[in-house]
Amino acid sequence: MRILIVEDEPVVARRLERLLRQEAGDEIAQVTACRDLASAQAHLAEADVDVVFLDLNLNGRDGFDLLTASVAGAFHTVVVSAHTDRALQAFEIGVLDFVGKPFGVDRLRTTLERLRGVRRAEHAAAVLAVRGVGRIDLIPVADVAYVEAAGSYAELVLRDGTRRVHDKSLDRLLAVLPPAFERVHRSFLLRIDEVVRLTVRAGSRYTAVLASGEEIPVGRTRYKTLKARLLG
Amino acid sequence: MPLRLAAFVVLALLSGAGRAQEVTPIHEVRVRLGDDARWARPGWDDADWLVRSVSAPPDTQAVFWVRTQVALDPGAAPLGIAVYAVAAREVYWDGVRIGQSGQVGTTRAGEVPGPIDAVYAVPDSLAGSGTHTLALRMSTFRRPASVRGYVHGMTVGDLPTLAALSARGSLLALVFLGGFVLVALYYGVLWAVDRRRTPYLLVAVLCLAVAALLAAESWRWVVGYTYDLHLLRLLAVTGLTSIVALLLPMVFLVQFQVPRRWRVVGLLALAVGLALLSPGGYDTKALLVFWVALPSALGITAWAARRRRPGAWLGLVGVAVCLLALLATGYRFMDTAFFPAFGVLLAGLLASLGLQSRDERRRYEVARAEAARLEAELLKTHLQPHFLMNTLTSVMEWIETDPATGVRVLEALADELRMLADVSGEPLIPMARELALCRAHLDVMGFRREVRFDLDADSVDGTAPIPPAVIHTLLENAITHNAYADGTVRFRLREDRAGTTRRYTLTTPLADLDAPSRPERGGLGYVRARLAESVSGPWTLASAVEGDAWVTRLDLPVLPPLSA
Repeated sequence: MRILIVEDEPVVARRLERLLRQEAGDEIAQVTACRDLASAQAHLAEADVDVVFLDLNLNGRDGFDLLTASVAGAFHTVVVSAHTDRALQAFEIGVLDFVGKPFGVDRLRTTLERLRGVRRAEHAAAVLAVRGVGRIDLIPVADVAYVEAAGSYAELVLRDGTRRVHDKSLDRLLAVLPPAFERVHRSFLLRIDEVVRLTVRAGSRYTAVLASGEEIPVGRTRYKTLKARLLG
Repeated sequence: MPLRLAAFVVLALLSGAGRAQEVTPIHEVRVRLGDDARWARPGWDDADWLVRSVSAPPDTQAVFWVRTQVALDPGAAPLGIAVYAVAAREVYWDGVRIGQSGQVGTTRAGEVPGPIDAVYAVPDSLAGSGTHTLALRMSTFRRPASVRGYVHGMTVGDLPTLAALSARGSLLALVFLGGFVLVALYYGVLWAVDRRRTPYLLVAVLCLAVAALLAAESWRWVVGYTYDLHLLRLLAVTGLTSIVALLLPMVFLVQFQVPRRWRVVGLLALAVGLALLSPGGYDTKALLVFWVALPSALGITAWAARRRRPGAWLGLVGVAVCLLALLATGYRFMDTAFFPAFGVLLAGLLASLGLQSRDERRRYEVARAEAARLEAELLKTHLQPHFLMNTLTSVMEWIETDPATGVRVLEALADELRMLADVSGEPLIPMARELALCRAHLDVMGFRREVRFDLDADSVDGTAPIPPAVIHTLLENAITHNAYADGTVRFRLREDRAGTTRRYTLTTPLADLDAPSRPERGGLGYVRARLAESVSGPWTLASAVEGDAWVTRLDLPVLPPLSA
């Protein structure tokens, strides 16, 4: 795990690093701490990170623009902030976790569980921030029918057929999407309520037929789970 | 004052005091200059006498006679005759003298003035049905030439009714008088309590003048006087009318803060003076005075209403009612409509004053709420999550890694919070306390940022008053908007005196890696609001980038020093 900490309070940054290393030392490959936005952006431009711990009140600026840019990235975003009143807003835009200040080691254990994919985010994203040309679009999650893997990225397929590329991998997206989304295949996340019926093709290939008529392949191991969920 | 009687009859009916018996005003009489005892006789032939209206007696001071025939229905007793006249007189009924007022004289020396108004009883034996002769012998040597219409009326009718008429009319006047005196007292006290409220003083004086006018008006009916004092009362009534007429627009001028109002008052006084100098009787003068006062009051209230002054339209309605009454009644305004209409006007005026003081109270409450809001804002800044939770997170870290530092930070934090709580409610504090508060904050922030923050304020006078947390807020802004890291950061506060102005210059180094941010947000809003609230006199606050520093200049008037 490669971690970037963006925090203008040096003591707080130090605490975050110390506790993370204490809890998940052998999983952590690298921790970088930046005190301001410029150096954080510089670091992100030249190094891959898996998770950014972000203080939402960087040098007095409203961090939400910054947060939007952050959640559009390939990495997970964890907000660490004193402004716990903004937690829900942060979750809705797609952060994996929101750690209120002051924090102790127990709280960070939960964050680490979410990072390992053991747990989904406490509140699902309501919109997905997608990097467009020179801007960031906010796509309502309600418009997404399914998500298809495209290399290390993901393609959001909207109900109207539009496709948008998201920098995050399927796993990372699943961690912030609502429970209605299910991993049905190595390369597919599917919104359960889009499924009209399940079919079995020759050679025991399973597919889920969507309202739009599209057929999405369903992994053999995941067929049972999906069927159980569909039958309620 | 003609036709006052009609008014009193109306008032008497209005006052609803018992049964109104038949009383009949006499309209036409026969008049003859000269003196002859036989002219009292019922059968005397007066066909060659002048026929005149009662209220148009001959222009003379010497003795003259008045005769008229009175037809009585059966059962007219007890019968009375009321005579209202600025003259001495003898009253004859069917040749019998039934009463007199003073002593009629053939010369000035021989005349004794008597009561101006009197009711004479007709003996029951003479009050049978049929036609009777009423004759009056009159002289009026002590009547000044300026008093023209000196016979105000004669009425024949039920004796108790006649006796009660004037008293009944006065009853209402006295009720009004009491009301006006009370209002005058009330506003006088209000003004005494708060001397800045000039409109209250003017209203008090206005109400007193109206009460005095009522007293002068009703004096004749309540107390009465000998006819030679009539001019004195007329002068008092006219003078008081002028005072009332002048005060009324003045109250509005002051109440609605009309610009150049004293110039307007001067013009009004001039117009009232001209009205008083006009030819014509006292009624005409009074009428003209009202024609000066009411339209100008209407203009002033309309002006104020157009500018949305609180309560202006109430005053406008009151004045308009008065003016309509003046239009409708003309010469009879003083006798019939003045007091009720003025009551309405006063009600409007008082209601508008009430509205105005309600508005003032609201403004005061808003100002108080604003002060409370500022205090809350200052405290909230330090209880708000960003400051407190970051400090606590740092303290947690030190507790686990370096407890001794943790304790020192908590001490610094406690110092700062205690000082803030002490000063947050004060409008002004000595600069020394402000600087102590700043240094406590710099201590806390120094621990948090691992930077040494210095505040150099050698030239600053510690006794100078300043609203709490002004410099503190400016420093907070600097620390929030700059990524200060490593080593020592030095803030400088300098004070310069220039006459009646103190200039504070706060220099904070710029260490923002992005473009210099402009902290003209939240923090400076607080500073401006505090200055606006607590500093009487002109102040300015300006910030700009100068080289590698952010410089804030605060100019304050020199205020008396505060001891720390």
